[in-house]
Amino acid sequence: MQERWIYFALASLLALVTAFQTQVVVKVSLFLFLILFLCYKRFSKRNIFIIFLIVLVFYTKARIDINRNESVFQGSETQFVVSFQDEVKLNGSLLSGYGKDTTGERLLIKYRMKSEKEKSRLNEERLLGYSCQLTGSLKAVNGQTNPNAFDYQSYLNHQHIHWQLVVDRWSDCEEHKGPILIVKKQRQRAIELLESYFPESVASLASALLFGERQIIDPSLEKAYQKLGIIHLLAISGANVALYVSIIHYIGVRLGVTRERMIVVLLLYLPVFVYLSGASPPVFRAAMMMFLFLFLRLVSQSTLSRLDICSIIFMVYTFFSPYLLFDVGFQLSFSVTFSLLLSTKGLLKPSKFLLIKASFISQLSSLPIVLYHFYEFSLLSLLANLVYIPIFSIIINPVFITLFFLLFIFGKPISFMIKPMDFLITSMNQLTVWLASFPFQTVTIGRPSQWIILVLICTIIYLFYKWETGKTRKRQLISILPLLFTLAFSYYLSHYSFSGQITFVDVGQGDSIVIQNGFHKKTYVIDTGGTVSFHEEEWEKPRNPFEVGNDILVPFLKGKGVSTIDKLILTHGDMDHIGGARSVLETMRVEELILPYVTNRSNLENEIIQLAKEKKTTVIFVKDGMSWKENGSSFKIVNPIIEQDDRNDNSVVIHVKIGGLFWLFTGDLGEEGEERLLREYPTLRVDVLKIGHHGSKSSTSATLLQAYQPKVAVISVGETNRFGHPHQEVLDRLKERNIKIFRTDKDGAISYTFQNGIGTFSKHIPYDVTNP
Amino acid sequence: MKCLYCGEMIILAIGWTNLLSREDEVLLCDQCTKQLVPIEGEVCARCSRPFEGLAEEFQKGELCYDCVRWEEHAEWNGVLERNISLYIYNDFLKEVISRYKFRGDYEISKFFGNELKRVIKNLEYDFLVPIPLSETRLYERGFNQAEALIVEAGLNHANVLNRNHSKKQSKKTRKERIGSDNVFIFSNIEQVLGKKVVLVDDVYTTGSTIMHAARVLKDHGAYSISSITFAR
Repeated sequence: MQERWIYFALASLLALVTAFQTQVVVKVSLFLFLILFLCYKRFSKRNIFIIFLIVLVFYTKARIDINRNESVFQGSETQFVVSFQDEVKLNGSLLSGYGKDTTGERLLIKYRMKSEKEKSRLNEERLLGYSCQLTGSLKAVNGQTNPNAFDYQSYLNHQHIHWQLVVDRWSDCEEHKGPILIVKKQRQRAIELLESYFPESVASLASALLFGERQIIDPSLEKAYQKLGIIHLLAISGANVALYVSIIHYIGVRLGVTRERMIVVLLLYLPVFVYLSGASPPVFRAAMMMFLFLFLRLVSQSTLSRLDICSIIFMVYTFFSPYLLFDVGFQLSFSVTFSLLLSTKGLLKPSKFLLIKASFISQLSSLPIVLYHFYEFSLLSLLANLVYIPIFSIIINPVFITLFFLLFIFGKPISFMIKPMDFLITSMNQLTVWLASFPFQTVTIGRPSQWIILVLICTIIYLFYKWETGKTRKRQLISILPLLFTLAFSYYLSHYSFSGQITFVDVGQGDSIVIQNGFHKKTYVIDTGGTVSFHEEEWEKPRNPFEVGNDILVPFLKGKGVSTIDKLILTHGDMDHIGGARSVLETMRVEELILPYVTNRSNLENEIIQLAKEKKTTVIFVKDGMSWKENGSSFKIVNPIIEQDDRNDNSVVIHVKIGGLFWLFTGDLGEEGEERLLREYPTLRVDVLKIGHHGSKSSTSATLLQAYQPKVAVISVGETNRFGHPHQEVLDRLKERNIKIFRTDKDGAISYTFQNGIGTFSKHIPYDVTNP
Repeated sequence: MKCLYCGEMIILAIGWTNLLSREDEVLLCDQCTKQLVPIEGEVCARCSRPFEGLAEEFQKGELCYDCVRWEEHAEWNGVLERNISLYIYNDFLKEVISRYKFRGDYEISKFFGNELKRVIKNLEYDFLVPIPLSETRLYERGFNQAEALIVEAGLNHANVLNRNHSKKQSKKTRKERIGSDNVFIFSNIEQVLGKKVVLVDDVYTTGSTIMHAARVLKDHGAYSISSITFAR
């Protein structure tokens, strides 16, 4: 069985992928692929038998799990007894976390805290280990309403969570005890200790590297790490586990404990370590591999290779939780580990280039996963890894682990360590932010299809294969060509096309319209949406607020492969139209920023103009009569005509013919603005009207509809908004005239895809809310 | 699967290559494979003798001094087109070959056969001719080590030569070998006239066995003669 486990692991992976596939054709082709591979490999009969058995067992297990993954609740229940196995998060006045009901079903718990006192009470233990009686209502989790957005519903579904429980009242909370809970509480206390003793820079990094807790890291710093492709360094790695184990082993042996006994000690310690470190899949993988390795050393003479051990852990892990296959951390951890272990025989022979080779292999093996989830990769990342891996593995990790033991022994850190560590980490953070600020380091490929991902994986395996077998340097270099070609092809697909698209992005209550036109896909964005916050007091301010620009618009654009926006048009200065502009300007290149030519600007507008100037974006102020041409379409500005009192009436209004239709994008234009527009342009051909001001009753007058006769109306509006948009009167006016209505609150993002003057509308329909 | 030579379980450390290549092609364990040194790099164009580690004075352009001496003889000039050898005849391989032919470990021929199959793909030929053994020697050993390679490679062999009994080659000096009378006799089973023939043997040391056999074939009208030997 030695050196066979990798094949068994691959077989189980194939079985799981097949089980999760819904298309029969794909299932059958995966099975055929298995047969072909077995024929090609010419395994012994015994191995073939084992492989088929594994495929059968894993497939069946996964299918059972998939079929069982449904809720026992009807949705009408109001009383629950929920126990919290992990701490809840407190973000501003919102409490959120996972809890288990007495039926065994996990629920997403949400609670709006009433007072600062309540928050500080809950913050003490964050409900870890408590079980409470809750009164509240079950709500379905919203599905993805925009293309390329994070699909929270599936994410929860993969964790067997089907409902969010919106809590009204808590009662009868009681604390439970248990070995795992004790460790988790220790972890909680240790993190608190770090936070109270150290400056934020040290505490946040220490809690990430020692306890796997990234909550307290500054989000912008985390982003910089992400951008440079070194975010993995902020997680506990296999190397850390090995470091812990060897330190403990060394100390034990020095103290006169026998080696065998020390192995037993380590075997007992590793499970504790897992929970101390936050039990994320990568930590679990590393610790379980170490556990198995030590266990085998203890009980038998024969040893298994690391590849075998990794394969066995993969199988055990996925057998018990097949849904882990969807976890990004799990995917990255195993693909990088497998690739490195497979490379130890040929590619990673000791040499002075070992580190470069190893990071190159890691980068390559994580590339398909990174592209699939983030749509882009960093060109600097290889270099950044070469700089940062030594910093982390030689200085930061050993220092922190020493710190951990000191903390463990003395209960508090030695004060002389604080200053130099603060200095070191602060300067490193500055370096990171500085490196991440370099332009043109990220290549945005756009969301690759599953086929592209499959081809990418094949080309990367081909590259490794040829790299190992290739006799000459030249042949090794040539083998990278298929990979580069696939990447280039994928880039080309998202950047050049004969078809164009106009999308009304679902930004909740607000506007954001993305226009892509022409072969070179010029990208125009009209408004960015924006999250209006009503938090009054300090304690209610969320630490990581949801922000439409960062959380919806930017992922949408990146998924389409956009890294440069040719024109960013902000119709007027209201939050719900320009709130996301900051994130857009900070993460993407914007050539031109277009604003209405007025004197009355909001503060936010001025801030954004300032930021745009810093980013060397051309700022242009427009008014009625101005226009530009692009790919045969003439974009005409028809408002502001003269400055009016109400900012809404000064919205930039654009009239354009694209994809065979005439469009009127009205911003938040109100009644007076409309009157003014009608006086200036009594007749205007309009096929699609973007309804002004989210369907407020003071917009979209009957006169306007009468004069322009639109056939299609698009309302960009948030679900259950506090303004009651869209107003019934407006809807009635539209219905009377048989105008087809699309609305982002009901239809999700709305797209018009066109080619050669003909196009179709489509909705990114949210999942059926009654049956999640 | 057990290693053909040392009998240990074959545990291949899996890398990208053997992850993706066929299973049955692995016959020796990693330990044994490591000790087999393939002939690579610059070699003598005629006899595959590696130039690496060979003193300058024994290299004459593309050829080694041995081959120059063979080619200088009018009698031997142009008889053998070229000899291809696969592995260096080091202590380990000596031990393997002696186990194979002197101690009759026939199974090892599977490995040799596999290797032969790999190399022969690149050659054009009409007949594969194993260097024959005399009847006495064949009786002693039970099989012809050269023929066994061809059989195990799944190829056809043409036994167009016979051999008179003489002292073992391995017990003679170079002078004795080269100067000795030709021990090979043409047995007229197949017509070699105008054909391309590849001789197969286990070891090439001085080349005299191969040269003598080639001489006989050339005399009977073979168009060209090359040879494959496992060790050099």
